[in-house]
Amino acid sequence: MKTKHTLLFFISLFVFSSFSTKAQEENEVVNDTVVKNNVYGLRLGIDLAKPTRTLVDDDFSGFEFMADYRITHRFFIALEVGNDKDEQIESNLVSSTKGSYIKIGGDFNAYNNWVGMNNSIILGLRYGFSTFDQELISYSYYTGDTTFPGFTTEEPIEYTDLSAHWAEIVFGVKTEVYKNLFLSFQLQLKYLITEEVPENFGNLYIPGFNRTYDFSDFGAGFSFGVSYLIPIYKK
Amino acid sequence: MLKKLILLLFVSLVVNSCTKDDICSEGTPTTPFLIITFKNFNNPLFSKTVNNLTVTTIVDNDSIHLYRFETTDSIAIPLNTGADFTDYLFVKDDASDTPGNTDKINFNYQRESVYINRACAFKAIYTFLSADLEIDSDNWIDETIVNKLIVENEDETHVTIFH
Repeated sequence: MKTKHTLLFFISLFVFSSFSTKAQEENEVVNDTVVKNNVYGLRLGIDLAKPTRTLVDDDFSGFEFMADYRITHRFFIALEVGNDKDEQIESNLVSSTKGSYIKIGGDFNAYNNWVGMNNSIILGLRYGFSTFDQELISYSYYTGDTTFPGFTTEEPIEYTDLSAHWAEIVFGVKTEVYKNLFLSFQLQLKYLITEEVPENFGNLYIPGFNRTYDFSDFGAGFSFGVSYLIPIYKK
Repeated sequence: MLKKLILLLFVSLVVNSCTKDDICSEGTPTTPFLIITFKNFNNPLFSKTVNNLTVTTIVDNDSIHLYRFETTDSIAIPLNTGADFTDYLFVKDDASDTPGNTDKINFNYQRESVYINRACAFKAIYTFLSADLEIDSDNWIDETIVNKLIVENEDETHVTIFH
């Protein structure tokens, strides 16, 4: 009986002491935040996926700059600007698109960082706008019939001053690989809001939106970026 | 771990980014065929079938038969999208051992391009259609009439042949 009570006493002592140390740790975390460990600043970067594609894909060339600015603990203002040139080679037509785009929006960081860490799991929204020119290089008549040899025009037609607006949902991760140096990966789901379509033709590719689909207003994209954080203040 | 995941996603996307998934679906109206109906010359309101009809066009010195020994009162034939004319031979009472009576019709037109979509590209529509019968010593066709100057779908008869 006596041993049992003694045992209980020690068990409860152990449990309580472990609780209290844990509480102490949490207090320390709170204190650290007060000691201003969160870096606020401007992060500037470039996309590595597009230059890589430019090197390996003869039909594509492009680049993208990205920037974000932290405004609260979890919210960032985000911006991307870029330029694309892409050739669309289909079974019955070849067309080329070139133009620039800008995407403005915000990122929400859903990741809970440990003290001193600065990684992100990003959920973001963007509004995208692009102006571009398109060139229909060649096309043939689709007949569904093989009686006569096909006919292909080789006289290029230029369509200039085209534009498109779209909305974008962004899912991404950013990880600090070296002090203030970040690698990021982003998946983008896009929805085309309006577009200026050339007469008797369509926009097969929109810079920033990427390729379009015949029976859908949705598009997709990704980026793989490297960026540098210019610290402005700590909070 | 996170860095490896990023790299893996990146590589898989680059590899997967070049797929062709658009095929021109069969239901899409593309370049229309020319619809011809055969009618009775003596009684123009009534259609009249042609016995053992063979419809032939010559492409690069090869005869291509679109219909062979068929008894019908209407046909659908393609026009050449590579030229502003197509010549067709219409053979009546044709059989493999005894050739029938051949009449030749020259179809003349202008082509216009109409955009469909990415997979189908463009279709041709034909305007200013004319159908001219070549007169020979023994024509079985009496007259041709163009019902539609513009061939843009296959819903209606474009040319009527009276015999």
